[in-house]
Amino acid sequence: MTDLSPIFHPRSVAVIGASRSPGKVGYILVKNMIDAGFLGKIYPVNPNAEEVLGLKCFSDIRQISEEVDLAVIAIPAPLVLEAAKECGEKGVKALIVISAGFKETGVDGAALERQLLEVCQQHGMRMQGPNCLGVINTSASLNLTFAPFTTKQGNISFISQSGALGTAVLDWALKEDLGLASFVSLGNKADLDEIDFIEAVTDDPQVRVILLYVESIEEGERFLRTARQVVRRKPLIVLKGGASSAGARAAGSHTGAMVGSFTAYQTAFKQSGVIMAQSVEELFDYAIAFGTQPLPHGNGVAIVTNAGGPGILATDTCEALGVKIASLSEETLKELGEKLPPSSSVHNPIDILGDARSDRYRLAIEAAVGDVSVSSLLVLLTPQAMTESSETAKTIVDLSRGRDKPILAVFMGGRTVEEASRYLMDNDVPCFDFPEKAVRALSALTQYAEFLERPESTPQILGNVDKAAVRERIESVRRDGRVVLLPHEAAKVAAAYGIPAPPAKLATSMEDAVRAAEEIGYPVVLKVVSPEILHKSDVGGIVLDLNSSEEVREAYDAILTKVSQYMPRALIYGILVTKMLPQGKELIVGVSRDIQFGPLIMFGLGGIYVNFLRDVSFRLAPLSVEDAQEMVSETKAYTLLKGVRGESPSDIDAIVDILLRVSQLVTDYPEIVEIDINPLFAYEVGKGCVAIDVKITLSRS
Amino acid sequence: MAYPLIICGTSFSGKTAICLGLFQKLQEMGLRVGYFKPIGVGLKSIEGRRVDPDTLLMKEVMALKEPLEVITPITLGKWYLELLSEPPQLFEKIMEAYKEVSEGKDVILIEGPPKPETLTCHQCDVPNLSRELGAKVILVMKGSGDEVAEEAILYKHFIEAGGGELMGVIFNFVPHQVIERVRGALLPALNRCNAASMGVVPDRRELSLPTVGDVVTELNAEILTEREQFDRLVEGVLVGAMTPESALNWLRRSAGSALITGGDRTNLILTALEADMSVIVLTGNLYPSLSILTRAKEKGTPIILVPQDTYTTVRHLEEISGRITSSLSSLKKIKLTREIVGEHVDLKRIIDDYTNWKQGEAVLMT
Repeated sequence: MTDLSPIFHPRSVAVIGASRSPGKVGYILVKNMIDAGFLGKIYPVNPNAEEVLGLKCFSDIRQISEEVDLAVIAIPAPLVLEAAKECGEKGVKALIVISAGFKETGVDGAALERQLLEVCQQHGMRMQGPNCLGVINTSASLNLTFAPFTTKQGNISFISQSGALGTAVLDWALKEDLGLASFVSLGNKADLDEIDFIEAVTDDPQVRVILLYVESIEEGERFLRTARQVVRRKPLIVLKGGASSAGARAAGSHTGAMVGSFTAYQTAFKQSGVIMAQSVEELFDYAIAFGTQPLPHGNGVAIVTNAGGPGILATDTCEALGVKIASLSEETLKELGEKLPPSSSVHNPIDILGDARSDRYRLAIEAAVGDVSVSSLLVLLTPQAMTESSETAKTIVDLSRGRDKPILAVFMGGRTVEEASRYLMDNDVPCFDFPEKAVRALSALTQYAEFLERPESTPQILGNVDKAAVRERIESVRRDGRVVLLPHEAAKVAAAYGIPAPPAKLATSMEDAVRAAEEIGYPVVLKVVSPEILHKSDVGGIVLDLNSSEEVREAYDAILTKVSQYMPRALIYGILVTKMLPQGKELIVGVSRDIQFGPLIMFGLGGIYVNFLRDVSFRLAPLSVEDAQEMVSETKAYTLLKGVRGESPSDIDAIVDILLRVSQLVTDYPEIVEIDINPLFAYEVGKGCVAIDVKITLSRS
Repeated sequence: MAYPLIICGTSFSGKTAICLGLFQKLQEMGLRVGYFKPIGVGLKSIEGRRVDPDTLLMKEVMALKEPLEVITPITLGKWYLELLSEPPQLFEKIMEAYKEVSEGKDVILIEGPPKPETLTCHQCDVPNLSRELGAKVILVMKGSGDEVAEEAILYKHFIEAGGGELMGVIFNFVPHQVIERVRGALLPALNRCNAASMGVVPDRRELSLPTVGDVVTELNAEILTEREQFDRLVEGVLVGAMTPESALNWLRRSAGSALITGGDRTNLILTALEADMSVIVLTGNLYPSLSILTRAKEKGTPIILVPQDTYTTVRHLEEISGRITSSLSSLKKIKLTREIVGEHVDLKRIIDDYTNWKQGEAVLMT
């Protein structure tokens, strides 16, 4: 792990490009440092100034006699390289390069950025940026940004790929009086990236929640490894820009990074326990909930409300987001029944009626919190004639102290609840203006808690796989200058990894085909083999259920006739003869090696409706047994596999086994970039499953 | 007297490649080898004169001393029938040039015109040349389809009907997977008609595929990146018109191909840069965003720009594919021709025939 203390806790900072002119970045940087109350040494560097803001100014960094931990560079891009070299010679430990004009400007800028990185590596310096906004660490009274404000101390660390989003959020946080522990602007990520900073802030005792805004993650597999460890210690909440295709295009133009498939990001986050936010607002809603509330032990919310409608809406949202409405115990119901007015609803959601004052809230909250089936609480308030919003807020704050159950408040309305809402927020009770937002935050808390309770799963390693056979097959395909395996080659690769495939032989003449059929045993299937024909059935390239040599001859002819009719120029390698197997449940297993995150495995219902129903689940390899089981149970197909209307259940264990074997195959062979098993026939329990058609694509090099 | 041997075949069947390979092999045996291509096709123009690029190539690579117009006395243009309708005497012209080329040589490799029947209206077709020069004919056929064997047999009859003599047939550029079928089905068909096989030459991608440089030249494209990876083979053509997510699968299946797409399809292009395309051809003069060029540089994938639309560009590439395929521009390709002829062509048959012929000559002389 990288030691980033020179960035977060520098003892001395040089500001290269320090300026005497107010309004210039070099001036604001020095001023912000002074204003933040930085306790270490500040060395302005500028050959044309004697002093900046009362501090002695140096003509170049080598003139400074004391040690310099960190240099912030804010001079025009063409001068940065030289300045970085001087920093290296001086023995500076880390650089923050604020200057723009690097990779974001094109090929020349990218070359300059590479040179800059080389200089840093030669001198053992780590670099943040270039083209970044800087860093804030409130516990070190450090504001190394040109954002003209300081930030209140808090427990949220915000790491952002977008500098502008950063400034906007800092400004907003100031208005909302929201505290931050640290803020990091990643810039072009030439050296240090989000993973390095996530690791660093995880070790910071001030930080309780880590927020990340990214457009792209280049080292996906490293991110996954790090995130898996980080989330065991602190919640990591990510907002991913470029989720839509238009957004992805914008992000691509912006950063030049291949944005990758959003499915892969979603899967990666889910699998590693990272919480995904859908908007900046949600990012901070979650941050406040995680930053102030304990995690729930279980999944059961009690809703206390003074209005029916909002209570119902909150309940609906809970249902939709998987937050369970707790069933209150007999005792709780009895207690509530005795203490609340007769027309109240004591059943959850607990409606304490429109005339509820703060004392009735107290009664209801205390009863609900005391119930063992309740693991979290949602308190809803709408301003009505008798409502005491401020008193109620005080009551909630009072009751929230020392509890190990999260309490979230929703004070709907505007002016009349403003003061009360502020009071709640100031006293560490998250308060939302609408119930949906609160439920989303609660859902995030609940899911995270559930993730932590699950045991850490380890990837399954299977024995008895024939690595040599696969290696040999891959080499022979490559020698041929191909990347796509022919069907019988792919089936052999699958079989070498214990994925059952029907016996097959490639025939290059009619008599060959008959011989193969006799050897394999009837019934057989004939399929055309051509690198140019992907969808064999569309061109009449498959004939099923052949039961005699006569039928094989006819089918052989028919296929060649049809294919030359539809694709006259296609090169035909031969006709594949395979064993015809009885129909099973049609499933699909696929792998696409994601550019950032590696092999993304898909499982779902197969057959002709697959493209319409999209009943599929995803996981990144390597899979654990639990991952594979979840992949199956997440889909709607699972219901079918368990057997409906008296059907006998399918061999789900065999399906799980296939998923694990596919996972191991793509983990062992990075050159396999795509696999498509469609259909996979699943038979009833004990009878296993068979990969009827396997497609495998290799990378070129 | 030199021993004459005609290498002819259909268009783009790899005649020049075979000639080049034979030339090198025969030279290695200590023979003085000459090259003659009586009828060329003027695809290039030098100082206002039509020149056959194959002639140019052979002269350069094999350091031939004879002037271009002697190696190839007749060079056809697109419309050649009426241009040659003046007092022809074409045949005399050919014979005259042949005399000059064959001077002091042991063997003359005579490359045939685009097709064996070219200039049959002036009695300059391959059968006539074979008869008049006393040269046996090697027929080079491209491909592996059943009809190719029949075409070869048809040409055998054509040659023999004109009084010429066929030595044998070479199947060239045969894909690996169908070599067995060619041996098992096509060769027996030839045998049945008394046509000898002189080799089944497997497809060597380096010979049959154009390079990125060839594509750039042929499309007359603007190069947006640096001249890197221009030697890379272009293994196919893929049109980029799908969403980036579904594209990855397609692109990977077509690794090494040229991707043809619009410059505004940022995400597709970024995806393609990860999928190992040999070149990305942007159409419609739409410049890509800066970030793409930066990424392309990192990945070492050339990006080029053409003014035409995607469809026209694809058609253009298809039209010229035969032409650039046969360009033997790089040294690597030239070495490869020697290798394939050495490994897959029945050289012994040629040498034996040469030896016999020489003995016959000796008898005549005495």
